[in-house]
Amino acid sequence: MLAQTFRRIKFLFLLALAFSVASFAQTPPANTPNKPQLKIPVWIETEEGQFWLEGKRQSFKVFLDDQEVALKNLQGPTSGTILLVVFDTVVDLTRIELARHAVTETLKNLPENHWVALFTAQDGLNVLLEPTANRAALAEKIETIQVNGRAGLLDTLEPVARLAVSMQQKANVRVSVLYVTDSGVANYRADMLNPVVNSSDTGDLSRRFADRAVQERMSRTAQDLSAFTIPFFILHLEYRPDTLNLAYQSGLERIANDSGGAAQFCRTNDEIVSSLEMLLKRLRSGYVLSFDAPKRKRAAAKLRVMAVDASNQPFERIKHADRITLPKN
Amino acid sequence: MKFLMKFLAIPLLALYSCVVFAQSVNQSVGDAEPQNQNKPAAPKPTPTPANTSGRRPPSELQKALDEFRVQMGAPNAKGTAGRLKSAGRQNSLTGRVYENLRNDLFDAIPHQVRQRGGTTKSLLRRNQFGLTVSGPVRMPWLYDGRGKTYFSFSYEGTRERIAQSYLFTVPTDRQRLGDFSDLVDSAGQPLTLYDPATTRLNPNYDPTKAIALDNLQYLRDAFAGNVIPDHRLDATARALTALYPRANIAIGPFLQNNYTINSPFANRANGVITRLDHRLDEKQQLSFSMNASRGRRLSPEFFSGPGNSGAPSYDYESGQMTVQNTFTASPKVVWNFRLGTSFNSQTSLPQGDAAIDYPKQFNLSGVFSKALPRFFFSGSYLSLGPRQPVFRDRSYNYNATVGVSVNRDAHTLRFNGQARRYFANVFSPATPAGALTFSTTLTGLPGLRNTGNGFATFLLGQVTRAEETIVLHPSYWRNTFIDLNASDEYRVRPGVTLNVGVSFEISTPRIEKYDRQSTVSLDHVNPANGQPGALIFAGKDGLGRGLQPTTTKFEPEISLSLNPFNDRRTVMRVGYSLNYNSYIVTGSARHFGTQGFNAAPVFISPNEQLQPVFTLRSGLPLNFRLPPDLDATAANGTEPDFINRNGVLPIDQQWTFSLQRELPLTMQLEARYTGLRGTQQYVDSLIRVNPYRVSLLPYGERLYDDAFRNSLRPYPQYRSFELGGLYPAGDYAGHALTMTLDKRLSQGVFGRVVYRFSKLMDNYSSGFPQDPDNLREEWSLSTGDITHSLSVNYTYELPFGKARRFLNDGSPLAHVFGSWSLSGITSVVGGNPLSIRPLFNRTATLIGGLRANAVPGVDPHVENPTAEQWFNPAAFAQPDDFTLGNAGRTHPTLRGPLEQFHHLSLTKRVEITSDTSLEFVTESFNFPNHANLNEPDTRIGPASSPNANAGRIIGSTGGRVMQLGLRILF
Repeated sequence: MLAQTFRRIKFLFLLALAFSVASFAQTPPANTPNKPQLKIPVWIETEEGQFWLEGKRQSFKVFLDDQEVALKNLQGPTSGTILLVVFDTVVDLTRIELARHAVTETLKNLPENHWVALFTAQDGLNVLLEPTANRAALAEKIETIQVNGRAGLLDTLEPVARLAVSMQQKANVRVSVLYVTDSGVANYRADMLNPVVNSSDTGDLSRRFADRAVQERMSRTAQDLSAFTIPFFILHLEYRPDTLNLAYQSGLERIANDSGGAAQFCRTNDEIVSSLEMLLKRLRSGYVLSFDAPKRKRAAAKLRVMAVDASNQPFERIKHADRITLPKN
Repeated sequence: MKFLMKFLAIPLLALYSCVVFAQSVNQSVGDAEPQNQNKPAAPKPTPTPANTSGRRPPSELQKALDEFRVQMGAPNAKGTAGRLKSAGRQNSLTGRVYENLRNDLFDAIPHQVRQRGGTTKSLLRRNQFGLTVSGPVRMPWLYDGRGKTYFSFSYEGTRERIAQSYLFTVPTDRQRLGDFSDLVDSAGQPLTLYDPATTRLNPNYDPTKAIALDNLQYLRDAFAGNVIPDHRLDATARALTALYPRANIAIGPFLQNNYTINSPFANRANGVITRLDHRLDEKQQLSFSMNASRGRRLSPEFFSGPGNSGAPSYDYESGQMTVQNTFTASPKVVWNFRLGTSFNSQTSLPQGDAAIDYPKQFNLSGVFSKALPRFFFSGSYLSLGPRQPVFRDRSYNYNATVGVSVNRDAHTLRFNGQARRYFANVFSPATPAGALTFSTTLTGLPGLRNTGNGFATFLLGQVTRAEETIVLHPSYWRNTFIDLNASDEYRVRPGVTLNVGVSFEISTPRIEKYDRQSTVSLDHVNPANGQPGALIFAGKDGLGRGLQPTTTKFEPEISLSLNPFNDRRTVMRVGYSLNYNSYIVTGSARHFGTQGFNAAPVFISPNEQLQPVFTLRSGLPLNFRLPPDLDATAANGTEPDFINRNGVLPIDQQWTFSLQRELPLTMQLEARYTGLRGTQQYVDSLIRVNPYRVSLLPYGERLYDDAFRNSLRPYPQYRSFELGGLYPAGDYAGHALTMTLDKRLSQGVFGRVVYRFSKLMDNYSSGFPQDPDNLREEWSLSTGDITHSLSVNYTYELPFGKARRFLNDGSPLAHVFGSWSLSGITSVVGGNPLSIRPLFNRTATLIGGLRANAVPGVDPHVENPTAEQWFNPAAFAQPDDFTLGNAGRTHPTLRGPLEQFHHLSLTKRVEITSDTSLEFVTESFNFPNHANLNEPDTRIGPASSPNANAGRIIGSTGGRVMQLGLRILF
């Protein structure tokens, strides 16, 4: 009887010990921050229109809803950078050839601490190359990029943003996304053209506002991406002037601008190289400011960044997102 | 059992503890190991300059790389590549479900209804509903198409009944009974009716003087009191009058515009669009697409019953199917293969009771159909009888395309080959029961205009002209088109790209499956009179199956684009292209070119001023040769079909010059000049292959003698030739300057402003020429020319809500006021040039496009054009009988009123979940309820009987229409 009782006690003790170990193991380590960190990209232009590259942590002040928050970290133009390059090429062989060459040549000039990953966006996000500083491997992979499939830019923006945020949260690096695309609204699988289904329907007024479906999609995508703080740079290889593509391109520009990035639309093939160089110059010149997320009262907060130079003179041209989505506590 | 449980419990718990502990430690240091043991191991790091040279990689970058690997999951067999299957909406079902509702409850009373005294809205019931869904093809346990196979499917249905307002002139109640005592002319002066039965030569006629009231060639007695005696009324005509609507309004002027109807048309349509894309491997894509639509369209009735002369009602089907394979042979070579087919079909619905033999019911003999014939009454009366009682059209085509694009140094070469085979199976007799015309001349005074009445002539049963279409067989038309195209996009040097292309188009003439095709040949001698012009038949007497030659045409295209002065914000483009049209498988007349196999007899009065061609009592004559009649003389005495056999095809040339300039504030300005030149365009009535010469006009009254008149034609065995809208003879030239300002989205504003300044000239847009031998005289502003037009499209996203400037905090206010957007379209379009025409055409049908005379020294413009006086009619005059007018075909400066259209759309989006939202759309078309004026009356009468409406605008159209939409987006 006693032995049985003892065995029961031993069993319960072991059970308690096991749960204790498990519970201890699940407790976050002391050095893990309780509050999620927010990281925002910022660009500063001088009066001469050049990017200011000498910023230090003490050069910046960040205000959320007009309340200053303490900067925890800063990555500047010399910091390590991950660049996610996504090709979304579905239309024109000529432009893709030029774009392949331009990207290869331009990325060669990036510093060694700029690692580049390569994707294609058609039919889902395909990883061709994980982040690497190996430019030869990158050039080799870029050469294999083809013109095929359906456009995937809009569908892959969010997963790419998630990936980028995740990397940026885990490491003190800058992460940017560069899309190289020639797609138009007609190249999507989703129905943004809103084509006439019944050609006999002469009383159809629902398609009078022809670009509504495009605008609606772009607006939703922009809204979805507003939760991320990753700058998107979009190099569109072919500017199209028709109404539907104007709405599409306008939406891409909005997405890029809202994220703190930029979009360039090439109206001739010869603009591809210069447009790419402009985007990469900007991409390289940015800062990422890290600070603790405030206790959440609202879903979003108004963001304001101040920066001063070495002589304590404030900069006028500071480019960053106007608002920031706060993480759920 | 207890022992076993105890035995296993402790090690299991220990194992669990260890695993959880290990995981948590990994997480805490941000390690690259996957969080989930089910995930495959991370790949080996890609060699980098840092780690291959033996140095440690930057630790933060390595952390980022590790996280990348965690997020991307398993690599594929190649070690570094993979597919993020689960990420992105591309791998989930997306789409929308929608309903658009229109109802007259929301609309304004249309102006055209209000002006006619209407106080109620026209019936409008419309529901348009559908869904679109797309995503990967996934069949549980069977197939997972993510990343490989995608589909999209759209369905849309429409159910609608929309009333349209019509205004016509019908005989008054008195006139229906033969009492024309209220009859007045267009100036409101009493109009006398004369009895054709009393026609006799005037012994006192002086042929040296013009015919006038005091010098008539023929005398006729007026009907006493302008009333046709009861016993003179034709029984058939009286019976048919019962089918005709009665006047129900008095818009005027005088007795005109006295019948209005708000008649609904109904449409029931269902359509689908499906698409399937499959990635065979990294290099091959296969696409399949199919769309189909079918429905029933019930056209508005001008009046109810078998006599309704509105458009026919019909069932329809259309669709297409395409299979396409794209093969990327290498990054520099892409092949495309495409097979497709499309079809279109329309089948008429019976009008009236299909079992009733209407000609028999109305005692009208000689009709080769059970349908009611059509009856036309001169004097702008509404016609009587079905427009096209029976038709069945089925057309389809098969096409195949192969193309390859090759990139080579500074060149991108493209080669494309395309072949299309067209089929059209048609049964569409234009007037199977006959079309009968009743002119004013038989109840007027011969030789005098502005006398008589078409409906009075009808009541007397006296037919002036008639035609009939007898189609024994459907026609089965076929033809083939082949296009071989090569182009080179050559990057000459940085900043300059040259595009050069050339196409060879091979167009084969149409054939008929059973060789039931014919035409009049002017090279063959007619056995009946020994003169040129005889009917020839495809596949007979050494002729091929096609009556035209196969053509091979060369089409060049060149364009240049460059950044002038190396300024990337400015782009200049120059381009030129030349294109040939191809042979058309069917023209406007579906059985065009089948004479002999079918018949289209024409009955014309020997002298339309003096006697009818037949009476309703006698019925349609049977004095023609019934088909089939494969004889060279089978078309004699008719208006035969004439196929142009010289292989000439329409040519279109275009040259452009444009400058694009990027502007601040995300704007872009483009100035574009476009020049157009078209020659040998397909026309119908411009060319008169067997015309009367204007030099015959001095024959005067003798020209009303049909036998004499027709003897003066170049090919007197025929009347005028039918060209089927396929004779290549029209010319046009145009210039346009278009300024486009685009504003891309910033601060919530997106828009486009387009202004166009243009001029389009041609020689064929008015139809019949005044002088067939002098087409240069026809060269003037096109009837469709618009000098100025402006359109503004804009969208404004209100700055409230998520990702917008204000109320982005998810508060209740944000839900109410957030995510609204406003879109608008405004267009202002200038008027078309006015074509001034005489009210009367007394040229014995010699001149089809008779013009008015311009009065020298009188300004046609008025200072402030209003609906009451849009232009000055005194600047124009009716030309004398048997003379040509001297005013232009279209006036160089007089134009119709401009039109404005303003549409507005308000959209509210409500987010239901992160992937689903609801969208409410309110669209208002013509939201200011603006009325656009109608075209002015341009008919100029003689001084003795002027057109009281000349220069005036009667009425306006338009009215606010609302549409409400609800969409679920997912």
